[in-house]
Amino acid sequence: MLKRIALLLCAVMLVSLVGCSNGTNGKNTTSNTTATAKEDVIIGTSSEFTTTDPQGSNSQAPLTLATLTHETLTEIDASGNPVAGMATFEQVDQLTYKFTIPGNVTFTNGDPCTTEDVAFTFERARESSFTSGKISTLDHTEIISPTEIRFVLSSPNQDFLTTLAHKSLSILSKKACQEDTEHGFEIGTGRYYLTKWVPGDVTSVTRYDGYRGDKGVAKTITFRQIAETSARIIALQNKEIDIALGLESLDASKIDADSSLELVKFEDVWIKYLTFNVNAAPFDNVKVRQAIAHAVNKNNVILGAANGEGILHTSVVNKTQFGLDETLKDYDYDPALAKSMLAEAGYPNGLEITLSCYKGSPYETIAAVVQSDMAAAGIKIKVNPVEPAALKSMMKEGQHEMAIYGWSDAIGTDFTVRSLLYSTSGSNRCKIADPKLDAMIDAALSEVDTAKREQMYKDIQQYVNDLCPYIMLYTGYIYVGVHKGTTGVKWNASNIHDFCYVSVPSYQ
Amino acid sequence: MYRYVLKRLLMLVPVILGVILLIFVVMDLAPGDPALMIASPDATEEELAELRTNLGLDKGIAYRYVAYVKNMLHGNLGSSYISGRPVMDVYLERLPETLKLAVGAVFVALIISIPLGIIAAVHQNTFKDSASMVVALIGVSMPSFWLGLLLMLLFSLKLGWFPSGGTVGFKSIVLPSITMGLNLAAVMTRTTRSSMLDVLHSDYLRTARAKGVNEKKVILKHAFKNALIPIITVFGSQFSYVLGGAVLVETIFSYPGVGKMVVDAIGNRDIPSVTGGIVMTTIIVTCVNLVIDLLYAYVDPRIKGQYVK
Amino acid sequence: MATRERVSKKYAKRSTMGEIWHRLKKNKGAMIGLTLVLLIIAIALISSFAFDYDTQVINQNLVNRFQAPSAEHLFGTDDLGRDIMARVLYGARYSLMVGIVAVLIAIIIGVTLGCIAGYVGGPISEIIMRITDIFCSVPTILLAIAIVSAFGVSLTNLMVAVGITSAPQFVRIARASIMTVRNEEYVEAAKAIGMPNWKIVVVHMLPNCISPLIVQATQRVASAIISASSLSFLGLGVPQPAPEWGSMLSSGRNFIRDYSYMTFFPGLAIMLTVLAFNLLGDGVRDAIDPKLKR
Repeated sequence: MLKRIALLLCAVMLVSLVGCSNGTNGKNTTSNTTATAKEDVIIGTSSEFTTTDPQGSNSQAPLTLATLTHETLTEIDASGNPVAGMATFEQVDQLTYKFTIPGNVTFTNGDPCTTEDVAFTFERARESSFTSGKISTLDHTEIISPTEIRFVLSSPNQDFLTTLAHKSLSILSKKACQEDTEHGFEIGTGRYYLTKWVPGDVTSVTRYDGYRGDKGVAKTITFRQIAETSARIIALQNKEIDIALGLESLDASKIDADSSLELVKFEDVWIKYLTFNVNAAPFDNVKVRQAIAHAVNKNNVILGAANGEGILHTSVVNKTQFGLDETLKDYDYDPALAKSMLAEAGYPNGLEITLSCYKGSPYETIAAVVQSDMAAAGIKIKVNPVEPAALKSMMKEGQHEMAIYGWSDAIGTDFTVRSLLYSTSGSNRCKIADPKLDAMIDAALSEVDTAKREQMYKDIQQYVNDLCPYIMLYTGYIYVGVHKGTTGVKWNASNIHDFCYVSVPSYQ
Repeated sequence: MYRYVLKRLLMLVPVILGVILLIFVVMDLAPGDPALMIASPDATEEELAELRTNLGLDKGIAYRYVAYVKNMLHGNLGSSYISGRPVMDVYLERLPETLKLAVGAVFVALIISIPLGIIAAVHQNTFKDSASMVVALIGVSMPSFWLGLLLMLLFSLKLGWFPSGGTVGFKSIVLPSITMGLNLAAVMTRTTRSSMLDVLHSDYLRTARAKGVNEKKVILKHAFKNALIPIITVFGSQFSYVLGGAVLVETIFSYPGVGKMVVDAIGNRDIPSVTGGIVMTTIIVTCVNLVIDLLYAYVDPRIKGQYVK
Repeated sequence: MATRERVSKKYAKRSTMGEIWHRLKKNKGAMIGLTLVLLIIAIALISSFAFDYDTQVINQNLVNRFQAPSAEHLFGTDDLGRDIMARVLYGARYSLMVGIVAVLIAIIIGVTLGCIAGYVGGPISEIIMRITDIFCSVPTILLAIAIVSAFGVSLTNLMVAVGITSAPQFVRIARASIMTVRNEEYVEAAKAIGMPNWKIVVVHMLPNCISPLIVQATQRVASAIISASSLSFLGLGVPQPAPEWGSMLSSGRNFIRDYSYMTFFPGLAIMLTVLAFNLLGDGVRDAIDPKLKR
């Protein structure tokens, strides 16, 4: 028995020595990196780790944590296509997928991971409103063996494999969850395990040396919550943290000025948008909405709220997503046209609108710019900055006139389009309930022919653009400050970065 | 003596009950459903209703109030709606941070205000006096958040001597403490000065001087000790500001103290955290004031005489 | 009876306005304070004529963002290209309004409750004092934040919130003053002739507490202004695009490293205004009760 374990450990060690080269670009063997890399990596962030339950949130911080501690059945490659994650997959037929997991997957508490845990995970996922919508087309799972499982859908879902890569669908341990309902879900099969969670302050993970594949590089990774961006940058400069997340374009100069630091910059998928409440007059009139759309100067918004570092966005489909129509025609800023359109619609004296938004940047700044630009079209805006709880209630009850909000998921086109536009969706901030649109969305989800499917999404985008329930504004960039020589991070446009292989060079 | 202490502690009870009621009423009036902050946007009405039942929000305010008070007597302040952690645990974790800040601020305030106040009083109406008073006045008039930002700009951003946030050891306490301490110092300097002035012209000092006691001893041993009472009073009233009002300083320096905890909780409609945080702070402040009142008895034999049988 | 009234009135007004004014004038600090206060009030009044709100105060000119102080823009421009000087000068009105109105609200609530408590005594007084204790125990800024969160972000709610949190002090002062004269002979006499209670309080007792009230009021204006700008700093003050000093500081905070002038001028404005009221307050206190002055 012991001999077998010893042999297994030797094999694991050999595999990890060889396999390490994949994870860290540039740095080759473990021995090389440990000599010059920091053992304990500290990451400064402003995001809240509100929960340690992967199925308990769609926010970036808990999902970033899940990326370290758990694994999903599939993953997304650089082009946005689903590839093998913990499991390899095979599509048996239109409604059935077969997943095969390796026989040596273990949870970080040592328990083996089998298809029982996979089945349990998805049963549990039905009970959480954060995940139930994603797997609504999953009819049932069939365990074939401890390493093979079949997923049977109730209707075709072309985004299914992509959706499985969402970190909220990470595989949990049935035993751990049943034994400990408060913390059992923290146990995953990932490269790290959770060691400390102090909400509002610190969250730490330690490397799991029993991982079957390439182990994590850093021994411990700690997320330190620093709400103020300037405080985070200073902490970075003072070497109190190694990576500073959530920076803004204005901070770029500070980072560039420091020769020991480096700025990582890439496009994000966080769409900021204006929404109407299409059930509230006069916004139930499509002409009024279109007129108002002509009164928004998106370039000014980008300049004022994003310091010019923004990319105009028109479509209700997010960047990098399948089917995005980049030729969609935007509504130009034309206050004279807006005024005349309003007059035609019966409002020759303009309108008075209450624009609600979260307090703070960038929302209040967007509001200020929009307010100023709309004035030229005779539209008087009253800015109503409120706390998150109040705005969410307001939008849910449909008490808003116009609001500023955002959308930052880009995993499956269906998830984005359905969330924003389907009549029963809770994220449908414009409150639209259009059966024709619902039908278009459902049809696009099950269409097998890729070319046809793309066209269907293009049709949806054109339809929505004409209907104008939302005015999409812009997407921006993600800025991260790191110390020069930091490698191994898989940066993610939704801010759910993969830190499994982060390597920070030791400070001299 | 003990009866006095007991009586004061008993008076604390209606105040606490009242504070809890006040917070409940205000938070109830506030728009925004806590359930929405926790649940996903796609939660169905049933799920939201279930969540509200779990949080106890479906009951009326009277029921919730009584339940809360009952729990409080067992040391249970409920759990945060957002993180699910017991409020008492979170508060006790963050309290030491705010206390460190409070102690730091008090230290800064005392080492500035006492010497400055004494000098100003002793050299009354001279340049030293006017200069000290002008400086103190400016200190009182400066908004703490502006002062904090200026200090951060100079000592953190430009000079890099101190971190501008977080809790990395002793260095992170320096700037926030100085910010609050300077404000406190300004108030205390004025109080020290006027209190010393009251005492400096009294008869027993004239007697001491006539006896030939060293002037320094007159000031420090006789005058100052008697001037302490008003100083301690003002200190007591400022402590409430230091504990709960450190919100602004905690925000600027992203210092994880209890003030910030309450403000964030208000924004999230995390009622247990708000109520728990404010109640605990109130209890602490009232106890501090009680200790201060007892200190009077110690410092002033005239008051002591009233309570010692 | 008429003689008694006349006598007590004369007694109450022994230290005449003229005497107080005379003492105030002699106090250099107080005069500086008074001048500053009048100057700031003047700025607040004139700025509505001097600056057209739409074209100068809130007008964005995104091309002109982040201009450092220059001849054209004495205080520079902010992140949306607005002229900071126009905004700072125009913003005086918000601070003044909140400061003065909040204190008025506090006085009305505080004096009414304090008089009732002081005059009636007994259990009603106990209840009022306990309620006052409750409001005093909660750290003021937290209470103000809770109130504004409950009722929404607006100028009115800001004034009410700051007013409510300033009221307890006035309750205490009013009550203490009423109690010191409650047992005076002229009060008994007034009661004997059948004067209604409220008249007794207003005519005979209130004048007694005017001095400490005025002193407290001028000092509270200063702290009300700080409270108001603190709340605005936290995003709970007057909404965009109003140029309130506290919210200007808050938006400038993001840019403090490279464009520190955005935070410097509004902060300086707050400080000078509060300083002016403090100087005036100190002077008024010294003038009204010369025994206090050294």
